[in-house]
Amino acid sequence: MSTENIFNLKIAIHQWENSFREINTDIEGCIEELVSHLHDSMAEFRNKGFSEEEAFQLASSELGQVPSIVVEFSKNHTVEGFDVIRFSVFFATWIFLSGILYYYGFFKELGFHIGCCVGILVSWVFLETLPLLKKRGGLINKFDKLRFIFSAFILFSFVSILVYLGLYDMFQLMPGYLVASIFACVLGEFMLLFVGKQRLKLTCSMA
Amino acid sequence: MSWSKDLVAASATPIILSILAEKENYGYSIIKKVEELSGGEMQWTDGMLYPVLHRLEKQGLIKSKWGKSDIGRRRKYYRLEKKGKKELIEEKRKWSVINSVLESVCQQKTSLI
Repeated sequence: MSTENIFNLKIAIHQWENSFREINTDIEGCIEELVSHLHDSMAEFRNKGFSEEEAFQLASSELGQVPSIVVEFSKNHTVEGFDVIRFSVFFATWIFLSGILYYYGFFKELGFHIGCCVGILVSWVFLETLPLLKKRGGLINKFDKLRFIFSAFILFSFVSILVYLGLYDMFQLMPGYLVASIFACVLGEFMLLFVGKQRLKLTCSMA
Repeated sequence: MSWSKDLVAASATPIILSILAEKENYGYSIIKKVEELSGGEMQWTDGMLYPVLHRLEKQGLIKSKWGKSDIGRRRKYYRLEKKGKKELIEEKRKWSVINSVLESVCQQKTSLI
């Protein structure tokens, strides 16, 4: 008998898990729970006398179609415009304050403007990296990584341009950085809201 | 009996909250409980329960924690929060209104026939 046809539960479950990841990585943190459900359901089918393979097929089909489940999960990840503004202002203020802190603490020798920019960038990296380190809860995904890169790029570019053009004088130095930070955050978060909605539409169309 | 998607979606929250009001529970058990309570009439698509549970948790109505099953496998348990208890009372009140309206309408129809 060929060993190729022997059902391997571990591989089957792994492939089933990957079918979620292929559609949307946002639900990474939810997969373990679905697998746990799959095991519970399989155990019941096994008790009824089904083979391991049959139990897997029945349990996975009872859980429903993967794209449909992903769509339902994706709906939970959408954010509204108000949340975006709230988060943006909060983050921008936090970044601005810690940027100054970094400047006075570590980057004073770089000069005021460069020091502030470096400080803001370091703060931003720190702020965005923390959630990425959190393994459970669906925070490690492409969307968060994209958010990190995009936001950092926008923020740093904007502040750099502002400094280069000398426009900071209009806002009298410190408030200028705050305004720049808030503007960059709001812009960045709204762009991401747009990207998120487009991704949800795409996922829905796949279901 | 086939259930409309809208009806299932609307009734999911009070049903889940009611089940969790009894004791903390996990997804698979909640599904089985719904089947049992409805005498097998209501059969949710298993996978659809979890997005609802996550939404309720996001709203602060329930809280989850990872625990272990009897055989040591990891399993996520949900319990009702204070906010969830309040929501459940409100949901029950609304469904009771809907129920009485339906009953009144049906009675009127019967008397006309």
